[in-house]
Amino acid sequence: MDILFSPQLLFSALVLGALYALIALGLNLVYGTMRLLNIAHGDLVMIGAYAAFWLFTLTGISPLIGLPVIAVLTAGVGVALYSVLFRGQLEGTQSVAQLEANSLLLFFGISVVLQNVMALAFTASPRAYRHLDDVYHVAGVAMTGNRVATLLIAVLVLAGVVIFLKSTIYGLAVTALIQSRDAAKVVGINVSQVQVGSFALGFGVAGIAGALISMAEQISPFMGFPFTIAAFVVIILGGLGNIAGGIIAGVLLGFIEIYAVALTSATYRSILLYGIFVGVLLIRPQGLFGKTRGG
Amino acid sequence: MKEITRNWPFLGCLLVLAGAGIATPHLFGAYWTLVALNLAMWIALTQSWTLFSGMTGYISLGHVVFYGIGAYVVVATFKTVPLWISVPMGGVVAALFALIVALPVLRVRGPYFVILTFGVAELVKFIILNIETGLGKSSRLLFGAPGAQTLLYVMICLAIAASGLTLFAKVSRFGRGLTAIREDETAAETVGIPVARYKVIAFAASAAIPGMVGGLMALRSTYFEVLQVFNPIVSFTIVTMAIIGGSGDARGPLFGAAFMVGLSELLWANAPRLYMILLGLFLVGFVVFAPSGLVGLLARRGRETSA
Amino acid sequence: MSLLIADGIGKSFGGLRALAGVSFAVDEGEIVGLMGANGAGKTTLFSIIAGHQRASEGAIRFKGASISGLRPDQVCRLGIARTFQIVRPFAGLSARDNVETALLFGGAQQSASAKVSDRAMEILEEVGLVDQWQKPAGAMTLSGRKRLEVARALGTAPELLLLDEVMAGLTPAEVAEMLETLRSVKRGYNLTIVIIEHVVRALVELSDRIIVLHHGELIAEGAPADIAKDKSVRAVYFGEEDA
Repeated sequence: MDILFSPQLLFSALVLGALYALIALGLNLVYGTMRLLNIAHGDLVMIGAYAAFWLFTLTGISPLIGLPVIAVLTAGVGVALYSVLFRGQLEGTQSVAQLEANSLLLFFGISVVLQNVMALAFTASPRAYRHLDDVYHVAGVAMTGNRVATLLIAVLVLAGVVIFLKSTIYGLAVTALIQSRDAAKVVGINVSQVQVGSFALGFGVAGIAGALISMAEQISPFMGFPFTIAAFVVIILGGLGNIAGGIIAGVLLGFIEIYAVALTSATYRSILLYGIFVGVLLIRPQGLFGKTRGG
Repeated sequence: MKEITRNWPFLGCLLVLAGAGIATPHLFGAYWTLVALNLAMWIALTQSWTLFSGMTGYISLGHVVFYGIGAYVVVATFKTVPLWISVPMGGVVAALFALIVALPVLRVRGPYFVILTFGVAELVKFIILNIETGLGKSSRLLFGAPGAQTLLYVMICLAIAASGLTLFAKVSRFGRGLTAIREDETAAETVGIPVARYKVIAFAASAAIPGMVGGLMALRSTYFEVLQVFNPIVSFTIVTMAIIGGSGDARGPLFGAAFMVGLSELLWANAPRLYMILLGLFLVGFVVFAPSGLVGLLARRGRETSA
Repeated sequence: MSLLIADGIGKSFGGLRALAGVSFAVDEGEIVGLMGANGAGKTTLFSIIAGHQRASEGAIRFKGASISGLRPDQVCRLGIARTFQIVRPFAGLSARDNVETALLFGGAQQSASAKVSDRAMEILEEVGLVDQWQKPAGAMTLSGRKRLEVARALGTAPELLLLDEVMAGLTPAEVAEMLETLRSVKRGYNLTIVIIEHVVRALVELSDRIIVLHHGELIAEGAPADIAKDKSVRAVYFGEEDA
């Protein structure tokens, strides 16, 4: 049982939990405001990771400095996808069920395209680089600089987005749209503008997460999928569209994963992740903190 | 019966295809035999998918799980159980698996169902991977599997059986029940359709043939590796073929499979990445611009020229 | 003899009580009107009878046997058909196929054949939709879809018909037509009908007897003329409507 009280595990769980919360935040924004189920979300994380990799290996610029550029890049992918594909879908599709089904198929296709375009451009082999990997010992915890940075930046970005959503006009509009599309239209919110903003914000945050991950882990064109699944676990646990619930659930999943793997073995990691995913969907699709969705 | 005979163009098409498939090993040699095997395989898989997902609107992104289970049954019993038992057994086990998971899984509706099917397939993949690793077998080789011609002939039978099932489902009372479920599940039960039972039957029926297909394909590759056999790309390709063909009835999968197998012949060997990219682009394109698929496009063209 | 008996039906959603101790009986051949303000529990009562929801307390008996706990499709095959207040046609199917589906699965249990199509056309004729038989249900007007709800219910060969606001949203002329249709199918099929309706005049005109629900409780029951004079009904129902 000693292992459960190890500060080392606590640190790892916090880092992973913060990353999961960050990745899931973007997925939640896009689903909450538009009812689009983005199963290509992890691929945006992958693109962010590649952007950081090339930025660092080609120019030597730290991904931490380059974060704004990387975020703008993936946000741009989001805006492009919205303008080309999803604006029309959102305007033309009558029923929410139809929209959700179509969005799954479309993002499925997009996911395959993104993965293979990246594999074509940069080969399918995994890559890595060394950055901020000096080990510090603080209070008996061995931590690398990049993990400390990951934790700090993930928390800062999460806090920033939450404050932004709570305190700006735009944030209020997003919250209103999550509550009710029709009501939001009636009170004069420019729905289209909020939607494109959600795409940009959600995808931008995913890019940041990817850049952070790339500092400590191997990256490959097919790395995104487990993150998509983890993000889905998180937003379903937290309640679809429930931003605060999603952040709590993200940290929770990080803890579950780190402690369960520590208690058993790393080979069970995938089974655990998919097991939670299937279990949550079967037992409580409305999430731990979510309300039952009507209809 | 009258409804079946009204579909004579489809049945004729199917017969011609089957005939061409049977003649292929004798007329065109080994390479084209494998192409024909591929085509028959995708037709069988996509028809099976249509039987459930096309008819009920419950989109499954995890159909590879049945294929993988069938393959695993055949591989695990290779040389201990004769193939004429183990291949059908692969289908039976896949259908049983579908029956067991159906009740909990089919209570979940809409987008939750779609991502759930994906999750179930991945979960099974990793469980079997752990079993195999535990057994100390990272991959298995099969020596003395039947030749491509035999496999092709069996596969053609499966493709015909799958097409026949889907056609039957479309014109029968059973199929009308499934269609009603797709349109409105609550209204369907209100007019007397036993919704839960129909969904479970269709789900299990759509799992059986992929199970046998998986078994045959394991024999074809003479090599078994969990990550490859349970590759989600198989599910993805099935869905793409069904959408491109037009997933409403038994005609769609023929067009979708033929189209995609043709494309893969052109590209797979030299440019597999490009093939996958096109696959994705076609899926997106058809969902946005031609939701009724090739069948819908051809039907519209037919109406315009005859008008 | 009573065809349908509701015995002490209660239903709670979490802390909210939608129905409490509702008891009544419907005799064979009767038309019973169900009245009450929005949220009085009328549709919930229908959902419980038809098997879409389970009662928290009490039992429903149909032709002497308990039907509590049966699934909607089982209830349907016993001879109870319902329509939905918010119409639920099979939108992608034609009007005829909608009715055919009911014929194939409802009480009649026929196999697909030309006879079923003929029968579906007869029913469409009876509700005045025969010239729209090819139209996808999703493309019909509200009035058309309300009629299709009735036609589909008839297709299941019911003895008891539960009609949930089939006249809401219709023009006065359409209401008059619908009343005529309902009277004629009642005679033709020897039906018993329970009908929820906000168009009070239509309800009074059609019903043999009226039951009034208020906040989930049955507060009055009687002939339409008496109900209209009932003090408690005037207070809670007509009073609210004027306000």
